[in-house]
Amino acid sequence: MDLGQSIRVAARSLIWSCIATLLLCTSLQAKTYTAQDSLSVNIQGKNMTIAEIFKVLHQQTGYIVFYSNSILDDQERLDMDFINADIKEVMDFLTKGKELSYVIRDRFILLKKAQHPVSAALQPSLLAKIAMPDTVITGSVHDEQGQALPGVSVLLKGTTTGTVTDASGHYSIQSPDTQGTLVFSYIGFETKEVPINSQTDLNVVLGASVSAISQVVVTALGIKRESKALTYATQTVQGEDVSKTKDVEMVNSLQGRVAGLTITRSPDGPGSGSTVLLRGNRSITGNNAPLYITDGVPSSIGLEDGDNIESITVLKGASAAALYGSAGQNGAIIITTKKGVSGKISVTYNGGISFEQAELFEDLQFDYGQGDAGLYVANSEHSWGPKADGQMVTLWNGNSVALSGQPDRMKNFFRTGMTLNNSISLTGGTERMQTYFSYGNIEAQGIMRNNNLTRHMFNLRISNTISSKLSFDAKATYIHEDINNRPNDYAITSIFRAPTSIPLDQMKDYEYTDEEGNLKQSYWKPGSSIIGNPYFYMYRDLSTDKNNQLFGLFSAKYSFTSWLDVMARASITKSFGKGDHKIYSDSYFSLVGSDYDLSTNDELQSYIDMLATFKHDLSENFNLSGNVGGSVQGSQSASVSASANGLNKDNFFFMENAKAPLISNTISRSPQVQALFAEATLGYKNFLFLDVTARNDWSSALPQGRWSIFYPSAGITAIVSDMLKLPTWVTYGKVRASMANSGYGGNAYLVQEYYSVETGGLIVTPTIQSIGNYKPELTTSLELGLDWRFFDNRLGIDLTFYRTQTKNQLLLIGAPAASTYDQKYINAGLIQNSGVEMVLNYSPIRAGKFSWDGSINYANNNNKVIRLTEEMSSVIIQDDDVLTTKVETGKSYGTLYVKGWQRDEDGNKLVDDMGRPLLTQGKTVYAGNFNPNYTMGMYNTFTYSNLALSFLIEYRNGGTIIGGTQALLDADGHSKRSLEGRENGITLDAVTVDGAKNTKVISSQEYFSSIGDRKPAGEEYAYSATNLRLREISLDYTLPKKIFQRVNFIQSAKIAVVGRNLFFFKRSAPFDPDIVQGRGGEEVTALPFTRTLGVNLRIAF
Amino acid sequence: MILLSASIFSGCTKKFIDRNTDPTRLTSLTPTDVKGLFSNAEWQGLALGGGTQFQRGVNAFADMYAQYYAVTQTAFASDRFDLTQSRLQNHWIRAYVFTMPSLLTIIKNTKTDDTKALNAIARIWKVFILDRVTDYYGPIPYFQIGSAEKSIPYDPQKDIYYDFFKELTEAAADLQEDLTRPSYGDQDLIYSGDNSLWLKFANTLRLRLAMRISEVDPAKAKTEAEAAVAAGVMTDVSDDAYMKVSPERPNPLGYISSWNEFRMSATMESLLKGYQDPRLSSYFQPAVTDGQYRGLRNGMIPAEQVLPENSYNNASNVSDRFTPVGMNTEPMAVIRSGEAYFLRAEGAVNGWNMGGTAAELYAKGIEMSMRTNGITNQTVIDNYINGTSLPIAPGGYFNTPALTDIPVKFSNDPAVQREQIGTQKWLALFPDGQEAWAEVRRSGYPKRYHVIHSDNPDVPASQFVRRIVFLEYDKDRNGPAVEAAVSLLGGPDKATTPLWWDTN
Repeated sequence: MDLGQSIRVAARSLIWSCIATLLLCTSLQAKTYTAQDSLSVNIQGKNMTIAEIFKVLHQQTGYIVFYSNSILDDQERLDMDFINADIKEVMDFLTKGKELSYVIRDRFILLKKAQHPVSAALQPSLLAKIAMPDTVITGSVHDEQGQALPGVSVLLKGTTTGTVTDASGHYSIQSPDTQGTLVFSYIGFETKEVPINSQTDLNVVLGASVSAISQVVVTALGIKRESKALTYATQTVQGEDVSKTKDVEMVNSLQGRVAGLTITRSPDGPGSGSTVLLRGNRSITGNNAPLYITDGVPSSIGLEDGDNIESITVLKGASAAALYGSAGQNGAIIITTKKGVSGKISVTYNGGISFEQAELFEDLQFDYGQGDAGLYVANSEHSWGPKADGQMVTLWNGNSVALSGQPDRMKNFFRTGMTLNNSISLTGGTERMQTYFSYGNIEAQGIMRNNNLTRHMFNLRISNTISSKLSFDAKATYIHEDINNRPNDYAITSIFRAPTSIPLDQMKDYEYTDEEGNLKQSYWKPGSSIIGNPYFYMYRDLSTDKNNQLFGLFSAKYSFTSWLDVMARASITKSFGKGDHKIYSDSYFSLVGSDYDLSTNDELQSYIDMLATFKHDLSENFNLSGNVGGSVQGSQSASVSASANGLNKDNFFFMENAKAPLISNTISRSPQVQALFAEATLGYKNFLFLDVTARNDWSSALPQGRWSIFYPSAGITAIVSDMLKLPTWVTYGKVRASMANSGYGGNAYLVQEYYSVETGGLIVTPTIQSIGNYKPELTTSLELGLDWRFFDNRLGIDLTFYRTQTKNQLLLIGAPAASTYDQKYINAGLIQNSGVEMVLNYSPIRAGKFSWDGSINYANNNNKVIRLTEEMSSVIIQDDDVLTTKVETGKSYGTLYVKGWQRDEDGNKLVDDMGRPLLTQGKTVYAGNFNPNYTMGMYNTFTYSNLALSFLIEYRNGGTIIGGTQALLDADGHSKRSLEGRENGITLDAVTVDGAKNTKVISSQEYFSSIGDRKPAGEEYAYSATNLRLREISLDYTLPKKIFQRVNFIQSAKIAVVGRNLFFFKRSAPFDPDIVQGRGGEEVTALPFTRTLGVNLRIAF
Repeated sequence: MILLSASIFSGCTKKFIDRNTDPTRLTSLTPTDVKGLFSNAEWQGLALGGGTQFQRGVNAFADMYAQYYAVTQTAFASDRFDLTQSRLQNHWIRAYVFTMPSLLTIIKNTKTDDTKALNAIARIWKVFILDRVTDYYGPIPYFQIGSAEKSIPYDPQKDIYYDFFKELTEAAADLQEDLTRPSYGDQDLIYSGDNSLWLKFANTLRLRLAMRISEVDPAKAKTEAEAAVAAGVMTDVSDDAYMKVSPERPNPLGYISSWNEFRMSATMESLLKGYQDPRLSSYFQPAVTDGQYRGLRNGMIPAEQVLPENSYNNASNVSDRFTPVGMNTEPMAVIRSGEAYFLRAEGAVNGWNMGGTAAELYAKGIEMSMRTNGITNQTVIDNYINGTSLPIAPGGYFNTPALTDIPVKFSNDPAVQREQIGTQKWLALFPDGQEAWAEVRRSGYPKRYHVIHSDNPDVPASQFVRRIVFLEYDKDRNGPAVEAAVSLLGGPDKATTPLWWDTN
């Protein structure tokens, strides 16, 4: 890559990755160049290429020159001799005699083909016309995605009358007559000519000119690269999409938008995180989560302010993340946050409110009331009572009520959740120093009545160009988060399992004081270990979490020569958290009166790296660029907790009041990982690229002397459309292939065994046998891809085929207990993931003010366990009351085994001699596999003038999930299904052990309490996870500029109405299958599915 | 630049070993640390490391199969003979993974003369714990515990018992020589390092195990029992072995009993109420509903458990000292002198030289049991010993009849004597369900009510669980050994196959 290209790359990167803020926030009037803005330049040299000249210009003035490849002769050599010259003089010199013109705005120089000979501009007659305008034409310019385009040059054809669109894409131009033609041109877009035809309001959509420009993506280590040179699959989501559908968990905004990315919401309410998986599960017992990188630094995604995000790029395979080494073998999610821009101070406000409502899918019955065996029992936890016909009954609390079903009870127990978010950002600065500041807050009220979250986020970023050689970038963020009363399982389980005839208002008096002054739970079955009064568990099992996170990043860049930059970067993240948990007396958990827990934790993560970037032309056709660097990374955390089983004075929550507080403290450290890495790209004629990376990690986790792991990657890309003459309907064509190795050194402390010391001096021996000399886990990935666009970019397809194999897995497997270990580590296993990812982009309609754009993504991942160990063909990864999840040789990761029917040789269900079901003793019945066959997302946007309607439909096909809630509801007699045989009993279609046909009748309650309950016959509760849902729908309206003519401090305003998870078109499971996508494949009394509707407002000042 | 970073990085691996060493744990042990290992082995071995594990490994199975209690939690099927593996395996894991490594480490590191007592006590405790494991399953891995082989063989129960006797004999001899040398001190949660009490413990345990094999191997049983008594078994409540508890390590029974998942059994009710046993209020508390002591039948299905008559609020929970109220203070019974007397009484009926007559020893056993449970009024005790009242019929939902028709007062008929000794020993062992279940299986006493329902097709409700089947958990990890072990059983790997010592 030559220097000119590198500048263009830089310029393009600015255009594409910073478009939302950079130009939005520049001075909003079409400011023309004036003398006082002039900067002097010194350019002296012989045989300089234009590119070299622009580079010098940039270094000395900070001005960036934008231009399209085609308009300049890269090979032209010029002799330059300017001392203390005005920048305009230089530009005039460069464009002299060519059909070029330029516009200088702020820090940018737009260089473009003149629409007419330059000399024409000097004709006095034309100048005279400009002085006497007749008509004012106004309008706005958008790209195909409906994004306003600032900085578009608008020229009245055949004249020098021109202007540039402002931050919100608006322009206003004066024309001497009403029949002229306006020419809209913008770098990276097709130039468009629009006849005025007596209109005064002209809105224009510009299509991207793919051949002329490349997209720039931020890749590993924060390195910006041209997407066309990439040899692996990436997908980018713009910051605006993230902030529009603002979720408390920022990462949830990616749901359905990225092929191969699955996100599972935590069922624990706001602030509880999500599980993210790229291309399926790869590691058997290790970590399958992708790596998060914020501004080049490994981070945790939890507390990122969605409004600060410039863009998110998902690097899907190990190839993409080869430069991150071990941590990147599950792929990486690269977050780029906003930076300040020079110019007039610009302020943006983004605010939104959204409402969330619970929806229960399990069908309940309201025909029969509380009780057992058909009788009303005030202490019963079941709905196996008599027909609820409104007869008067006495409740456990002595009140008389009519016995009748309470169908609205679930809905009324939960409240409408509400999330309010506000953020304001401010940017501005001089040529040398730019500042970006933002403050955001989120107030979220969960659907549980006392669950809420408050988050404050401060962000300050300062970029400083000290000299033409040295620049700094510094960022500090502070986030404070308060979460009250994360939904506790017991409260949710209790409302799910409450008899369907107990009125909610009777439950609301959830406690009382007995004669001795003790607080007691008012529950229909005192002392139950099954459930309790749901209000009691909601209001008397309380928790708070307070988290503070301080993040600091500092990077400095020094340009040694024109071909070598060195960047050094350091970051630390300091987190401090504090939490407490109060459990009132008479709860299931508090054994002696009331319980109290208090804990604090303190964590420090650090990351330091250095990166040298070079570019060099090897010959006319070959150029070389690359990076060499190193990093050191580690983290340490310490926590102290005190817990009290029993307080001297009940329900008085202070540690001093504890009867016997237990104190514990822990220190945990990550391994230290040091790395050296290098990346080189060899380009041929800007259409063929060879990419090679190498990384060596030294992980302190590995056995002594075996610390080093080396992994290389290589890839090749060809821009076919630039290499061959293709039919004109092919706009762009690229093929790519890559291979990569990456490794994982494991967690700290595996190489030796430890004894722990417990309170009272007890010494506990290790239960896991250490592995001693182990090999790092190794993932090899192979990837082939295509990226083709057709019909003027109206249709595009991005296709990836991949295969990754992970071997030497560090497996934690069961050991024979008689070895005195419960588990041991071994190095074994080979797991393969292979699949296809496809992104199809289309723009079928583009007619005047109306356009339709969309994309479809599709991913299928075939997971196969090729080998485990010599000794065993299966490993249990989860085992609980409902199911056993295994990894088995020859099958897909995650086979589910449950309890089921005992069957005879012909497969008939067996019953005992009383007609009761005979079930397997253990979980030995195969129920399926939790992996989906494939997933799809379809995103469509319809734009009409200022209005845009978008929706996202998501489809998941296949996978088995087990519904534990349904099993409980059946056993309790609450479910609709439990109506079967209520009056006359059930004669099961089964045979007895002797082979006789079953004739015995059992009661409905007997049947359902044996197949359901906490340890159910999972065979009866296995569901397909297939579902089709409307994930998101939004309606955006950009307010017409005219509205603000009186309030001229407002530059633009946009309102969006956004709905998320509104409904399913299709679903088989009686719950949201999303909840269980992770490792388990099981749902048990999770928080109900919720749908969200919100309004978002964005105003730029 | 590259060279610079290379030198920085390579230099840094010097700290790697330190970085990869956990600062909060130990990599090696001093002789003093070894004592801490013993506390751990006591706690893990006896309490299974705490309430939840204890409930899963002991309370849900042995305590129910001994019929001390009946299950009231509808989600638990163990009382209906469902050998729920995911729960049972805690018993196995706590013994092998949490108790044995501590004991083996001590035994290996105490080979010198001045550590003889440490070694001996560890070996005694090892026998105590592994006896509980073999009495669940029969053949178990024994001789090769701690082997690094991929598959670790199971050994026949007879060989294991013979080795128990050898171990106890040797350990007792070692202790005899070293009675006063300080051993574990305060780190011994049972006897605070009193070697002479451990000596009595060893002999009493030897007597217990001798009685266990008395029907399958009478000659060996007689030899071992007489030798044990001659060497000195527990004779007074001051010899009783109890393990101390604390807020960090509360009594596991106390920890689990507030969940209302089990209640006094009908078996208990029939006996305690019939004999007007003064231990009734020491063991149990009245039902919430009406203040009466009431037991429940074992093996109810959920539809029966939820009926008001059978609900936990209508039956007796354990007394306060066995609930959270006493969990930080109420010690856990290990072996007590009352049991020693009952073993001797039965030995006397067998015709062994037990240093007294069956009647004397039987009465002494009752007295010690009363005293260890806080009943010290001799008149009350004597009245009980001479009591002629009979077990009552609990009635209730299942119209339960009286359990049996024997009084407390010692009979002259040896057959009745055996039932009386068995029944009183069962009452005295409370709340140690593991030993009680083993002895119920061996002796057949006390009588038990049949369960209402069985969920286990191998064990009809008219029968009882005779052993725990081999664990899926170990089949997964130690498959070939488990397969080979089946041939050691003398029957199929089923819950109805009796153990070696179980000849009933």
